[in-house]
Amino acid sequence: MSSSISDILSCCFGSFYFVCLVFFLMAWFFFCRNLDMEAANFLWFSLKKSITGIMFGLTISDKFFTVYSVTGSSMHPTFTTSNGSFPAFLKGDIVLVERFWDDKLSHGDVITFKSPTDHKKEFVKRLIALPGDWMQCPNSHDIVKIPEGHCWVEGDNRSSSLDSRHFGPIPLGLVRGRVTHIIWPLKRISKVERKAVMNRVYRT
Amino acid sequence: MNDRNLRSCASRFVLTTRSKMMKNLGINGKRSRIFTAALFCSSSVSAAAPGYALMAAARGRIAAFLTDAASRLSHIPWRSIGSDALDRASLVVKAACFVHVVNTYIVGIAFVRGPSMLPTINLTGDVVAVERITPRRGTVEVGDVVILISPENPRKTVAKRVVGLQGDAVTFLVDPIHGNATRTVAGLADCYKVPMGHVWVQGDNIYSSRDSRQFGPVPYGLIQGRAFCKVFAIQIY
Repeated sequence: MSSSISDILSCCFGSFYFVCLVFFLMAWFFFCRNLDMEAANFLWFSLKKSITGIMFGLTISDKFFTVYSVTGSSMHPTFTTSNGSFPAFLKGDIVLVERFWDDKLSHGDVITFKSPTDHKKEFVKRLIALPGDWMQCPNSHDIVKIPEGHCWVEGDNRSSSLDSRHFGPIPLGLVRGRVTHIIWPLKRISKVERKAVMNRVYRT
Repeated sequence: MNDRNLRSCASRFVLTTRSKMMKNLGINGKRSRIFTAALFCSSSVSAAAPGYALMAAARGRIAAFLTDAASRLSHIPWRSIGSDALDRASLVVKAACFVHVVNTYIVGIAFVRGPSMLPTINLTGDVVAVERITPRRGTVEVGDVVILISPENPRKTVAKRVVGLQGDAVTFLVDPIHGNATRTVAGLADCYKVPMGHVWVQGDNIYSSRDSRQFGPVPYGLIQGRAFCKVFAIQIY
């Protein structure tokens, strides 16, 4: 229905690191007494390295850029979902998401945001209107003003998309990042274009 | 001052400074004579034919300086300095990562001020400790003080008290200054409850607080943390 995304870098690599960490901790607790000094040192060294790696990865993924897997059909011409026998996160397109600190958003960007109805899900949609814009609602003739601090998002595939037409304008505080590139299906590596909707948004 | 005067001045200067320089440099005997001769020579020659002699002298000095510098620089342990600098830089980066991870995922500190939480948090500002685990797990309860991104301005962070969770019905005073009119929530016209995935937040000081009574229920995703402890109060009075 809607195209939700999952944070590969944090989830997969995070869980991988977590498993490593648990393994090392268990090894530390159970075998440490029976080990000679060298092996214990090696364990401790690896533990430190893995913790540092986790922290470095998390910081990069929170502050600079991260990798997501997009599943679902709501952004269909832009992102696709294949039906191969891949693991779950390889079925969809894998995209590069850029984080930002200040408002670098502009009309037509593909953005990721936390779902306003379920904070554990993250959606990817196209940004249609920014605060202060006047916009004609699709499928009706009303003209609404986007309230302060909110934005209007819609999927590219209008027929199957759960977006602002359903839950209204979303607060900009929910926006997490901007999709810049598609990186996984090798033949589809490309930049994600910015497509602004001109005919029914009146910018101020 | 004509050219002759200039020369005499220069030679007198050389003579007076000569003894000091030799003393400083520890020159005596034959070398002192050579040194004096060189000084005289350089001063008189440079006064007579300034361009070429000056250039030659400068070139010689520069060459000497460069060879000296090269021999000195080659003795500096660049490799160990570089590895030291790299170690320090990586330590700083690691510390920054550690601070970021702890601040984002476990516990942080927030500075809250303003009149909207008045009995709980001072007008002039309190430093509160904020934990991020409860909101991440989705177990925020009614009565918690939470830090959330303002839905009206994404750059502003506000502190409010959670009054209702999703599915709750909330009754509140619409305008407590001017009357006792109450309303029951409400986000949309057709539902009488706080919608799914939203919370109803209000300031403790209902007389001067901009909260859900104005902008409606806020999405749960805006909650950044739960304030659990006042670290210290800033008192300006």
